[in-house]
Amino acid sequence: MKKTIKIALLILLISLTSFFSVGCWNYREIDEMAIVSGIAVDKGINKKYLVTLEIVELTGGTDIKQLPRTVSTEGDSMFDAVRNEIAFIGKKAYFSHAKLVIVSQEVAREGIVKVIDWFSRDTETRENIYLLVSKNETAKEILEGKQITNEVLSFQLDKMLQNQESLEKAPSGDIRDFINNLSTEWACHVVPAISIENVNGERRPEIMGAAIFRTDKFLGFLDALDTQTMLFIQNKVRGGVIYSEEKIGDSYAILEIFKSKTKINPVIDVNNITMEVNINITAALDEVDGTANLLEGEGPKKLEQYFEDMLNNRAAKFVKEIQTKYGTDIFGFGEKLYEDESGFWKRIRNNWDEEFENLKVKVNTNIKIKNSAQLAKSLEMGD
Amino acid sequence: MVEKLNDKEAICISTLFIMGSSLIMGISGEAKNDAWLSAIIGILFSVPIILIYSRIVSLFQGKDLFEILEMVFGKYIGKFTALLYIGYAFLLGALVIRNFGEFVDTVGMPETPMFVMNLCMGLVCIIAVRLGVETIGRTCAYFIPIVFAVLVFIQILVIPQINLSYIKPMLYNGFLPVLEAGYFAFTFPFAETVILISVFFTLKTKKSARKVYLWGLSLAGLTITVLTIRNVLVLGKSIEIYYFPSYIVASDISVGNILQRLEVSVVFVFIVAAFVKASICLFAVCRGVQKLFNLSDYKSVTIQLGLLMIYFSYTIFHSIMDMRDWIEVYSYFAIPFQILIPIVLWIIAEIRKDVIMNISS
Amino acid sequence: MPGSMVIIKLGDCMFGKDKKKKSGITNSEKSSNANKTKELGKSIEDNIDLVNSIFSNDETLIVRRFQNKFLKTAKCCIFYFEGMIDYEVVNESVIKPVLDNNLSQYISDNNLLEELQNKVLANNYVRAKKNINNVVDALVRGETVFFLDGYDEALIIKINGWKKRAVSEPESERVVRGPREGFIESVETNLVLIRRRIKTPEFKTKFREIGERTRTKVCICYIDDIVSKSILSELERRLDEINIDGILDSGYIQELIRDEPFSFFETVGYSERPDVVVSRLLEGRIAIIVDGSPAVLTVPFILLEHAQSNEDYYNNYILATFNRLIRTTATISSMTIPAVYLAVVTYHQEMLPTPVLLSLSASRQGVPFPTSLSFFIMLLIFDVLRETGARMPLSTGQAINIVGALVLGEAAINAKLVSAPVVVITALSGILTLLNSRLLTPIIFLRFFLLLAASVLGLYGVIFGFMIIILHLASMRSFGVPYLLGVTRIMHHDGQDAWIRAPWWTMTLRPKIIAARNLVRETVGKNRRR
Repeated sequence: MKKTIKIALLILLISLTSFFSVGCWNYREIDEMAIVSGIAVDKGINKKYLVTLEIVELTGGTDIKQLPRTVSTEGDSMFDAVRNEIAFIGKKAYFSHAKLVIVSQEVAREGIVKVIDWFSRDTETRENIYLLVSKNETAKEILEGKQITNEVLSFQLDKMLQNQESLEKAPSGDIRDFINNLSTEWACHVVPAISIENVNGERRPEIMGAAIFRTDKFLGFLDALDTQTMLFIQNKVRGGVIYSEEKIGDSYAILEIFKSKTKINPVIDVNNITMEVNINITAALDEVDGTANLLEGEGPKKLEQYFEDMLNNRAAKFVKEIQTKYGTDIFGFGEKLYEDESGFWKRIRNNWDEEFENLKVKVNTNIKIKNSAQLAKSLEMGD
Repeated sequence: MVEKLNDKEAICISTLFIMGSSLIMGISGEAKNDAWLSAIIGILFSVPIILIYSRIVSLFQGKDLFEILEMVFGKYIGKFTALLYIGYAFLLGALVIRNFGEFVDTVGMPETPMFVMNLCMGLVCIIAVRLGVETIGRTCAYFIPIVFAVLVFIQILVIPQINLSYIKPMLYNGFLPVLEAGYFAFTFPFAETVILISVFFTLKTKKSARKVYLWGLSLAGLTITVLTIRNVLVLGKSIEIYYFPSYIVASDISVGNILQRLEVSVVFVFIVAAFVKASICLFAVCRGVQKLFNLSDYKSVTIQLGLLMIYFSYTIFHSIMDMRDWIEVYSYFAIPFQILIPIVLWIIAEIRKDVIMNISS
Repeated sequence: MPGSMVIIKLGDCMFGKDKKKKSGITNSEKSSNANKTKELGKSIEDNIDLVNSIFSNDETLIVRRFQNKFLKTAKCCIFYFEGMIDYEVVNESVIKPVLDNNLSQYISDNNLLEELQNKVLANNYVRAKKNINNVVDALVRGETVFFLDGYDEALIIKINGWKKRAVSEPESERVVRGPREGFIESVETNLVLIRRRIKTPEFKTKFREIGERTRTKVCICYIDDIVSKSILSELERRLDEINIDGILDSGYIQELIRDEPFSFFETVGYSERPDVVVSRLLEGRIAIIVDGSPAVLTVPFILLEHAQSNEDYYNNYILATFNRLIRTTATISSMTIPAVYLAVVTYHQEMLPTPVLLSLSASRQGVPFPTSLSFFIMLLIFDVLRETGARMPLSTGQAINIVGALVLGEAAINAKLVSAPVVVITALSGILTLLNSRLLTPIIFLRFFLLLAASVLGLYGVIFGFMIIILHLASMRSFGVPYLLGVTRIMHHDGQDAWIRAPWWTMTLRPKIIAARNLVRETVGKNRRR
């Protein structure tokens, strides 16, 4: 019995000692953390980077209010800059819930590997946060811009990016995708572009278009339409709309995409490669801004034909433009070759850029209009 | 009290033992997106050697590895090889603990000293070994449904993240790297089951050994293969750059906005599997020391050896980078323990079994 | 009261049968060695003096002398303790027959005492004893002792008649559906309650007395062709080894015969309901009835019996399974919820969805104490409230509840002493505890243990703590039966009545509890299939 008591006391003593001596390794109370919601990276004036953090401050009690504020610090590396922030807010910044990183064009041009490396290496940060490029001069001004509602801007942007699928004006993708692409031979990536604009005297952020990266270096922007075309070829469209470029009959038509499936089929003829891109779209006529009756008789057929031609031309033009202007394979043709024709790929992979520029691309779109939303006819206007 | 394992518990032990640290470390990352092929090759490689192990167990039913070594090789060589195996089990246990420590240190609690984590894991192993193999067996039987439930759950939730085209192209770099990675998979974790010979003296019948070994191999092998395929499908060929691919995969899960960041479930599975492997190794070490020095009970040396193992696990590597390099060295280091000695043992035993049996009885 | 007569009769028969079987020296015989020198004499006055001297200074010992009307030499007396006998029965069956009968017709026989015993005393239990120790034992047990002048033997007549509680539904195990009977403090009544449900000669009872001074009657009962002989002999061995001053409740026995004396988990079960005990007997378990305690012990006892309720068997099996899952989940949660919460909010904030993180963070703004400390304090306060609630008279108890709920919950949050989630989690954990009050001890302590582990190592600590608990449970045995029996085998017949309650028509086999490892395999053999 005496021995048991001795052992029990010993265990108690050890556990108490360990409890009191170690209670502070990773233990942290949530109110002592500055919850970072978004990060903007700019070129610094004195040092290499100027990092702006959007931090959510909370007021307790029954009525919870989220008060975003931004803090900017400079540092020679991401980590350096982020750690300097303690001097400003007194709390340690907490990155696990950060939703996005906005990079300025200047930083992006120099290469963002140093920025994103920190995100994938550090345990606290997460790799599935969105990467965006600012169309404005700095990234900072987007986070500092006035928010749409009372909510924290980054959370708002996060929602916008998640709902991007039904809009398809910007690509989606997180840092993980970026890193995965870096190690490949084609090594290009597109990330969403963000800008802040004055609308009715209100500064409003807008996610529209894409930024092209070759390895980790920024090359240029794509506008919303080009982005959509690119997404069609990449088989990443899940929804969104297609506008007709010109009037059909007397009105513009708009299709809502329900399903889109793209198959890329490389056709290899000795040394000539042709990429056959087959886009299959199921859509519905969603909006007709005129009175022309597009649905009678041969109407649907014509409509389908028109849109197919339009997309084919657009895609061909766009591919050509990319081939000549940037010379980078943003469509994933290289990946397709690597996956399906790995023997052939081995031969050409070292001069893939040249091959890409001379690549023949045949786009073949097939649209099926399955219905016309809820109206059987166009609205008729009484004359 | 003589400890007896029933077949179910023994299968649970061997399954979790094989899954061990490979669950989280992933195997054959060297083969990139062909890792799953390597896993299958590793399993195929290990079938014959595992049959040899089970044959040894059932030839000498009721005798543990160290007794068998002495019976077959005679006193001096027997003791010497027993010493080697003690060292091997000791090293293996320390490695598992170290893997766990590195894992927590890297992904979970970077500010907590790794030694604390190693110590906690080691202490749980010491408790388990002191409570006996039967207790470990029952604990395994209790944990294994949870482990599989968690794995299946993650497997289902991860489906949206899967990209089927990642599995292509197959054999891009030729067959050799895949074969090599398959050999790595053979040495770690499948052929490490040689340690189990020192535990399976507790099996009830002669037939059990083969059944237990094959079931354990197929269950664990299937799990590991499925996990590897999953990891490849989610991470693509960058599976190679991560230390802990399964953890990264789990952290990718996001269902709605609520069910996300399920890394901790992976941690649970890993802790359980690593715990089983480490405690079986510790048990083998204690048992070996007991036989080597003719002690009456292995429990008297458990705490000392356990603490040594914890300390060894702390000092064995300088950093996680060393740990990664070690895997390559290990696959050659393990040859005598996993292949040479068992085969020699088996051959001698088959030839001279009548003589050996007579001497021992 | 005809009912009570039956009760006494049954009890007596069994008691008598058992006496003959029993070998060796029982505790009671050992204890009265001191009186061995004194022998009963032939003279009634000597005997009265002798008994009086043994029980000197005890005024509740009553001696009643009386004489036969017809035979003047037949001087007799009875001894009894006041209040312990049924006066009416004594008058009718002992005093009146001896007074009124014409004893002179028996005088021809040489043994009047035997004649009295056989032909006059109208009582069902009369034994002649020569040893003064037996006389003393009988007296302290509440039996009546009859002396006749000229004989060095005493007749012991069993007419116990103290007040008993009526058979009623036990407070602690209420059911919506099912029998309402509950055990009471009398071992005889309890045996009747059991025997009424098992109508087979295979139902056996073994009596013994435990406690140097209280000499409490303890009855082991089992069904002979189901029970495992090795468990039975192990139980008897443990009961024989008990050396204690007194047994006031079955809880004493429970603690004295249990395996794993330092564990939080009980390895001996108990119930206050005859139907529960009978169902356990039918599974091959052994019941231990202790006089003076309405809680009947059953061994062996496994962990999952905590999750079983007798109502499970009377209700639809689907509902029963659901209820059982609720019970088990609640028990596990009440143990782990505070620790998991603490670990997540102080170590693994990345696991929380962002909106939850924000609201938790907001609720902690301005709270000075660390979460871990406030958890320890709140849980302690909850236990204090629970204990006060149990000890207080009913009316005061309600006041405590109000104070507890209002002051400690509402006001503490408003005063920013604790954050609201901590109170919510504490209350949740506390309520879940009450769902399975039998597991109170392990839950309370393991909750603190896990909380401590969580505050040091976060979820890793919780997982390690959980593993240590499982290891401990896996190493435990109750009378040789693994404590976790049935936990891992859902498809096996051991597990049919574990996590789930399988329909009756599928439960064709008894739990293999009896044929557990390391025991002499005494399987139920021919009776396995019902």
